[in-house]
Amino acid sequence: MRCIEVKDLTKTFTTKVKQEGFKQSLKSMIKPEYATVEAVSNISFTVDEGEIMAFIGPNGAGKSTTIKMLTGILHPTDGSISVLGLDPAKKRRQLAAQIGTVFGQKSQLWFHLPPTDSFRLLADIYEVPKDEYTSRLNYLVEMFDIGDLLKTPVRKLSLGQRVRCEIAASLLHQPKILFLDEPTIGLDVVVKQKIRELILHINKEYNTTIFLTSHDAGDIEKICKRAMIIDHGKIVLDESVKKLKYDYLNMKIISARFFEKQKPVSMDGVKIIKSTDYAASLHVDTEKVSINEVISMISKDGNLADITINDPPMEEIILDIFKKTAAGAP
Amino acid sequence: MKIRKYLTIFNISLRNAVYYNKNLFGGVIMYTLFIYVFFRLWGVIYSSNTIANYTYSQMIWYVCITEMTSLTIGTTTLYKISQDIKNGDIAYQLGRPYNYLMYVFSNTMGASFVKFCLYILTGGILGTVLVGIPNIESAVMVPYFVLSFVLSIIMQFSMLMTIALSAFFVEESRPFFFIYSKFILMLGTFVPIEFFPSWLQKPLKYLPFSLVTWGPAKIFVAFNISQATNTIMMQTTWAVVLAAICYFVFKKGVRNVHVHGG
Repeated sequence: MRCIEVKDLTKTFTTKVKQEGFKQSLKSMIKPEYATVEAVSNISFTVDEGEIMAFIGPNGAGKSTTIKMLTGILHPTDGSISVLGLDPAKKRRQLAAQIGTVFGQKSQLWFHLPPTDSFRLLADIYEVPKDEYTSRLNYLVEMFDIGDLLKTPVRKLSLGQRVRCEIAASLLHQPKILFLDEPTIGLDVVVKQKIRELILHINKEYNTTIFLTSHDAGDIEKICKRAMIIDHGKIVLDESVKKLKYDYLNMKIISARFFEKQKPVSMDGVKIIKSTDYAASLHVDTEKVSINEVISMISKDGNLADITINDPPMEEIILDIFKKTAAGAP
Repeated sequence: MKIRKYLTIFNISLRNAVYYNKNLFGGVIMYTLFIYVFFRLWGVIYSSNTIANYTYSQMIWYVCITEMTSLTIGTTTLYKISQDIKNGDIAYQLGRPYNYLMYVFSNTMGASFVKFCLYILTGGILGTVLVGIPNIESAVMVPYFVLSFVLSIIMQFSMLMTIALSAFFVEESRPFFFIYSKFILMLGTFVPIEFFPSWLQKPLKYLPFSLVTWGPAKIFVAFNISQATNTIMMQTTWAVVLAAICYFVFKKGVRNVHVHGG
């Protein structure tokens, strides 16, 4: 079943143009100049029920604008949206009852009160019946492991603890779709992992559709089945993560330092990014050669002092995609 | 409309105000200082028995009431709405299944109720200590006063909320808050309308800025049934008109919402 359908969606903003200097300021008071910015231009996509969809793109690409239009906060300039069969711009309140939202950088919890107060408030706002609320809360408390935090004022929680409470809060009314806008921003690895597990769990247990934006390649790799890349308001790529992974995430960056002077590595599937006498940065295609082989190759004469293995940064993958699309090969 | 959710909002906001009580005590200190300054000031001015038909005691009680009426709402809670609109926090609050204006109203009332309790207590004690218990001729005054006070709160909320929502259209709403609070202060809070020249008195009795403070305070210190009825009718009309304007600005503003980022 389709649960989000977007067709030819466009959003333009008008902003006042500010020029430097006092004279220009005076002039703009009398006759302001306006410029239109196209935040989202002519995008179309669909999301199926139970799908986990990643929405990726650099800052200012139009991700949040799109989420805000999908949730009915912003009105589209042009095009049509249907979420759960409703037009968000017209049926905002009706739709709001069936969706949950978490904006990673904003809080929906009352800062000075313990989370349990915010939970109770949200339960009343979403008209969750009392006994249902109790069982739901017990379930979420156990799953998110937030029992100890319930009575602590939000301002005293760590970021990781707060984000767990934020996500739990958005699930109290059993939404059919959960919109997550950069949920793992600023979190450490352990907490990130925990949040990812929870999102997956929610999706499996309740068949909740997840619509997620992120900068983090890990988020996309670990959670999502499908990824959509947006830049300058346009969809650059709409692909299953499997395919994306095949194309791009099989790249690893190995950085190594050596005790003694080394000979440059030469192997099939390994590209040298940088190589000096005592250090090397290698680009490894794991489709062609396993990490294991590369490591045993460079460590075979006991020369290895230090090694780091990284995913290529998301920006690099996106850049790579842009290069390919610009070259005409999808 | 499900009233329950709005009661919970009221309740949570009230608890929040109690938890975060530092600015409450700041308010009480300000209120006390204000009344004391007026107590001294009017003490010097009152050489004759009455000015514009107000006795010294009535004058002090008048200021106790007007200050309480305007401080109970205050501008800070609603100024925050303006900031929410500008920094995009409003996105969270709009995307919920409730009437947003009712949400803000319940929220403001929760915080205001705490302030109201504090100010009425402080005002009552201050007035009694400074000039003795008020000279109330008839108990009929009480329901009129309560009604006029409630209407004043609704009027103030509607005006402030409209100003807060202007942030949808203008870049900075602070000047409007400033002008509004000066209007409230000058036209009715400091001095009763009767102190103004007679040509100004008539229009002032019809203006919302003076009706919100002068209205209930006049009923309290010098009750007159026909004037009280008149005040309440004027207040009711304004409350409806101002609430309608607020609603209209909100509807218009939401279409205009401008949330940048990401």
